[in-house]
Amino acid sequence: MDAETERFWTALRDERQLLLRRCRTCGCHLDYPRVVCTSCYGGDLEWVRSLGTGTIHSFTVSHRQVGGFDLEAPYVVALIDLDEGARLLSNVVGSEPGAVRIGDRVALVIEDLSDDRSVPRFSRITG
Amino acid sequence: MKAGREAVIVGVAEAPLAAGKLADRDVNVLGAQARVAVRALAEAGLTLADVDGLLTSGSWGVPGPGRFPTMTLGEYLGIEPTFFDSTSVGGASFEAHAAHAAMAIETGYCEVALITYGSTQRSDRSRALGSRGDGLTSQFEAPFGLPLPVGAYALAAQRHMHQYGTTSEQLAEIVVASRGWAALNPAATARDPLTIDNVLASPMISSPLRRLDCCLVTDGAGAIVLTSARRAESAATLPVRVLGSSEAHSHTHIAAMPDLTLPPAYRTGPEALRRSGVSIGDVDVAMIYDSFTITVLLTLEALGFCGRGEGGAFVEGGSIAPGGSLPVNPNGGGLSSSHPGMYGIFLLIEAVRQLRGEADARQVAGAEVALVSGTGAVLSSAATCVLARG
Repeated sequence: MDAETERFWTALRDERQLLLRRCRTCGCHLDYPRVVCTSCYGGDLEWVRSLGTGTIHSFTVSHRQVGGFDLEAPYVVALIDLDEGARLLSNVVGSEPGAVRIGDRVALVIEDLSDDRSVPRFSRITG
Repeated sequence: MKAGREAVIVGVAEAPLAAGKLADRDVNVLGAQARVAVRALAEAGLTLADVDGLLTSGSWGVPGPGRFPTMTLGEYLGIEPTFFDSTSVGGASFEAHAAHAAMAIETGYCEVALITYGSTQRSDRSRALGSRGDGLTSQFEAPFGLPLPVGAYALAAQRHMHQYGTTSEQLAEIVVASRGWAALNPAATARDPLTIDNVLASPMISSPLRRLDCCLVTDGAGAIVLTSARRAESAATLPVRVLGSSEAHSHTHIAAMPDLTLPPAYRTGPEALRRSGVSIGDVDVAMIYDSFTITVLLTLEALGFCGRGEGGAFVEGGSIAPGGSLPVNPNGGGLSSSHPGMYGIFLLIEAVRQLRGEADARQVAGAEVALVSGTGAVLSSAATCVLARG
């Protein structure tokens, strides 16, 4: 968390919202908060709330337990393409790892790692 | 370019390993680089006193003096370079260093360039690239447990399988081929024969990549010396020309990679060939960064040895193994020879040995042109050099 990103993390923790930076000039939603648009290089950006829905672009089931990580291996790490167009690295939770497929639809699940820290994860929308 | 200023490689050296660790037990990572530097210079009839350009990159000494890699190495060696470069883009750094050294020599900015690399990661019992921490842009990746770097490559492999139907068996062909070459290289670390079934039976690390899809974890040190063609006339070694190079990078974190199936080599391969006046069909030996089996497959496609999505079919049936249509990594590469964390300098060293005709049992007959393509971090960077004999 730093001066540029504090709003992103506090919104997850306190308002239970996933915020994205959106460029007012070209409409692009940025993958992570920053002060320049990577699409048109403009500097006029606003915070918007993500719908929290998206599609799995790729995933991997990690059988290696990364030090300090809260989920127990095997767990799913995925690249999620939000419907707004931004891409996030996150985890897919609530499914058997073997059931996950590229193209699956997912929705936001905010998980609290501690009193101070909440992260955006995703679960598969079935049916 | 002034006549006689073309850049040539006149010296190479790599540190011998014993069971994946530096055979020399009395050196740290700086001493290991010093020894290979002296040997590489000596085979060209040069000494450290002749060096005016110093290039290096590595993950040593951070936090600490490793924050200034060329200054710390220069201080250790007792040299004060007037051209230096510690371009740090992962394993491809050394192909970029070769390109930059060549440009400096060709413009008269530098006369004798020394490129070094060293790592004692195996002796230090440390795996992977070391923690990236969670500062700055890593704060959006760190909370999600992606094992690095293997997990990032796994995401790319999974996507390639989804888009093109690539199979684990096809990926396995790549490491099986590298073992075939390593069997011909006494300096390689892993030389026992390997079958596709062996690879598929190895433990899954981060799906779809298994342990045998991953490179070795060893120590290593290497050095390369470049100078002008005129200065090279007095070297004892057969000179190897740097015909042309190209470099590109697109991201640090895998979530920012524009297309998981298209690494930056798609730009650097064609551009390096174009600058060299060489066509891909002229390439006798391909040195392709092999941190993972998928790295080779994606790079073969990106460079243009085969079409997009055709990498799986291309590597089937031993085409890149000894006796195949395209010799790839005839020393065994990172998958079977050594991999100290950043492998790029060893791609260049083997290419030079092949072009000089010094590769003994693994010699590719009549090798005149080598294409060397490094990859860095998580398919993040690419630097490609075209080298030619004489």
